[in-house]
Amino acid sequence: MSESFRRLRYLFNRRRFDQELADDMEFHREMAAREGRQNFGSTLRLREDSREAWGWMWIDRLAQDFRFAVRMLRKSPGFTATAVLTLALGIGANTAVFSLVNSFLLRPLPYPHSQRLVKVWEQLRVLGVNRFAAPVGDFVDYRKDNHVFEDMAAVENDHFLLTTDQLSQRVFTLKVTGNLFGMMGLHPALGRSLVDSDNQPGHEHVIVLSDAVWRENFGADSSVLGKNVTLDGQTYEVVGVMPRGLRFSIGQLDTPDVWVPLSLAPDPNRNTGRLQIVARLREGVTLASAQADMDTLARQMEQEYHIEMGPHGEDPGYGLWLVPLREELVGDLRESLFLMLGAAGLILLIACANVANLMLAHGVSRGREFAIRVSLGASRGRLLRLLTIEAACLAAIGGLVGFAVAAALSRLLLLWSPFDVARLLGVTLDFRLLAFAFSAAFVSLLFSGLLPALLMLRKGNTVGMQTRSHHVVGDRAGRKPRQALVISETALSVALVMCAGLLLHSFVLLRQAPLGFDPSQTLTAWIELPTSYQTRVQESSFYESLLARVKAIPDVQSVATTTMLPVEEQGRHDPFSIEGRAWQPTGHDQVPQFANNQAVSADYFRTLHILLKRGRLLTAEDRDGTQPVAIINETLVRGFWPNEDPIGRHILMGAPRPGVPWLTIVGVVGDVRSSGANAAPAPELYTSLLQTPSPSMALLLRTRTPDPEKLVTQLRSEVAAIDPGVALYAVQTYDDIFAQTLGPRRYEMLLLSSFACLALLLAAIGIYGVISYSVSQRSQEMGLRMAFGATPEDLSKLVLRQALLLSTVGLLLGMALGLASHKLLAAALFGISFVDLPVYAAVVLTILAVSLLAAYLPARRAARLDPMTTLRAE
Amino acid sequence: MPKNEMPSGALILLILRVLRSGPLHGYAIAQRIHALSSEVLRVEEGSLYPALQKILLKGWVTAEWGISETNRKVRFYRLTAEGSKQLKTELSEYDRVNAAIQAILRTA
Repeated sequence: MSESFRRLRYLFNRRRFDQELADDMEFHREMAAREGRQNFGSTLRLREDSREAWGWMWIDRLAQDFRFAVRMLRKSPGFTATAVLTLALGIGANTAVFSLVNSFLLRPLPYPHSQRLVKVWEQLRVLGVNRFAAPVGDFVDYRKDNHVFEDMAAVENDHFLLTTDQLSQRVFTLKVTGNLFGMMGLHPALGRSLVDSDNQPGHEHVIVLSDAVWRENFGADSSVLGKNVTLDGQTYEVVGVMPRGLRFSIGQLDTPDVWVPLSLAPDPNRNTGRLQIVARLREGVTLASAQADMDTLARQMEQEYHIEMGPHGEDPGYGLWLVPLREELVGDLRESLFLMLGAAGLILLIACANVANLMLAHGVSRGREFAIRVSLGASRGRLLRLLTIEAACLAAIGGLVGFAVAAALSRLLLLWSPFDVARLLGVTLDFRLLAFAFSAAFVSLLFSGLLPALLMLRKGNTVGMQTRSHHVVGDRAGRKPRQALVISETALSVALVMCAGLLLHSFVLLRQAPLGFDPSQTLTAWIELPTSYQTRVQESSFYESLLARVKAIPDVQSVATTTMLPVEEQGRHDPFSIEGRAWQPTGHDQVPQFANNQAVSADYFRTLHILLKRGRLLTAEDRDGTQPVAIINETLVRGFWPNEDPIGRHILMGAPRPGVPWLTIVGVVGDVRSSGANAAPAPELYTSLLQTPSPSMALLLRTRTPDPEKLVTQLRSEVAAIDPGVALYAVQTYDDIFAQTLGPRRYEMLLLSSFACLALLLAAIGIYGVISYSVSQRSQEMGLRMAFGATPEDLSKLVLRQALLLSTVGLLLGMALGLASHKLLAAALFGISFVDLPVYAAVVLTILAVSLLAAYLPARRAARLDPMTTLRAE
Repeated sequence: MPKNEMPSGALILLILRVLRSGPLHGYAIAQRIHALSSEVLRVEEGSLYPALQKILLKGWVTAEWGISETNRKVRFYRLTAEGSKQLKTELSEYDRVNAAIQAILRTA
């Protein structure tokens, strides 16, 4: 104990102790000299031996080596800068991508006890419908009867027309149970949030505003509390304002403009619901046991209410599905994240290979220095330590710069991210990120520092250095490893470029892939009718006059309305029934017994260029009072009438029930890929808007102009001319919608492409380094060749051939590596298999071009060699 | 002069022993050992100072300033309580080993 204390005290007072020791010895020497004795050893050596007792010598040696390393790095700033920059890029790219992984997969979600939060979905297992929103009745019962949840909250999204004294505005609204706020840790900035008693019937007319709505519509006035606002004609009292920058998401629902209480009034409807349920598991309850408990509860519920029974009493497999909230938020992104992390990892390896190469080259030019050190008695261990410390300095600086690069880059990755959840989760520079950057730096120390150091100090080399430092090291010890490094970094870049190329090709194909409709030159907008429209007749007449007026606009070719815009929304998948048939269980590769239901106007198919395959399209005669009709798509026909004519058959959404008429199938249209070109088309059922109107509709205008957006003003004035109370919002071209849905793919593709470009750049630097070094090594040989009649062209060809040889070997290895890792990419590819000749050809050409480009300067230098100078050089 | 070198363990024992009669500076320690051994043992700087550092680290002696016979400010090494204890154990250990060796030498 006290010994370690003394040892420490020595460490902190080393200078004083050292001085005292020196004094003692000086005195000793004086006394000895008086007595005429003169045989002293080296005082310095003696002092060092004495100091050794305290056990701190290694610090001194380390500091010595460190000072020396810093001096060496400062002496060759070009080398240092290149190495640090390369490592920083590699470490930075990795850490930035890891920051996303950290936010998405590792860090807790920004909610209290988030690891216990789950999303509760209803499902019809037999039919294969997995994410069903719940009816109010179900939620109330589950909340009351379950034994596994601490709490359950429900959320429903809606759009309302918010009217104040000054203006009216369409607001995205979440209707929620009061406990949601406490459960998700959402605290108001002003007033109160909603509470459970607000959900009681008769108490629902209170509203909490978002900061944005409060600022824009109420001038950030805190006297807003207690004031009344109108939502869809009903009066609500403002009770609170949420804080600025609040972000909220439980999967499909995002931060709203306003929050109102969900009405929990008893509702006999047990078949269709709109609620998303989020719940927190009790402490100690596992997901599996909760799932089991809820399964039991669901069976009781099913028996009691005959939920979603089929036309002949078949069991659709009603149940509940608990999904961890993180899975719900980021589950789809996992693969893409790992793909990016893998690509970034390759970049780091390539960067390491490059720096290792630099180190070897640098080591060669220091051959003489090493030789002197060895002859002065430095052991190989000491040299290795010196080189390692130099590499550690590089890795540490590279790591620091890389961390700074990552900090900036991760912000950009977040900013450009097409995923809303990225904004919810954010990125932070936390200890995990630091640890990751540190590990990346350590990896680079191993590969870029230790490896070349060991190569340089292999047995025999030190002797070589002593005798003919330049040649022996250059040709025997240096060349082979350096070529191997360049080949492997070329191979890694090839693999990366190959993956990027495949993604790029996929993306191009995906963009051009037929969707079953034509989104070009089309303008879309959403219409919200005010609550003054109470009857179907009123709604229908509004739409009829709107369609007529818009069609009269000169540049409009055709116009239609629909309740859903394909691609923008993936559509609701609800079970349907066919007259005279039981529900069929959905198996693998089978068309499921659920369909996306869309109410459209007669011109919908003509406007989107959806092809009629059989029967007829809708007409203006399919209106209230005539026979209810349906149009179905080819997928539905393929699944349920593979060899029959479906025209005239009867179908309806859900299970047959009193008061809901069968629809007669009058036509079959081509498939529309609502979920994007890379997903299989789902069954579709179109009904006539005039028979099933809706207060919320999308308007579609096919125009004759390549710039449909210039019709927006005219469209607005036409709507206002019929009824100024009708809201028109979310106006955009269909091409824009399409581009947004491609966002994730574009992001992935662009990121991987930038990585591939970076890899190419690094590989080019590597090739350049090796070739130009070899030219300088072989200058004598070149001079000889020239003296014996070789032309400058011969010499540059010689050099280029060497570069081509290296890159061809790298190319072959890289292609093999790429092929071996094809499973990683399979899910991200569209329209091509992994063996894609155009991409392969492009990769080969790119790599060859890059390597020739990299070898061009050294080749030119070789061609310009003066034989006399080179031959006299040594 | 290798024949006069001694193992460092023995040197430490001797240093502790000569310090028992009072604090001494480094040179005096060497002198005292030399004189007491009838000029057989010579302690070199190269072994004395490392040994002293080691003893300092162990806490068996402390160093304090004093004035030398030549009127110079030097450090005197003083045996600590711990050092005396250590000396005792080492002495008895030495006696035990010595007795054993003597026994072998006599009988063999």
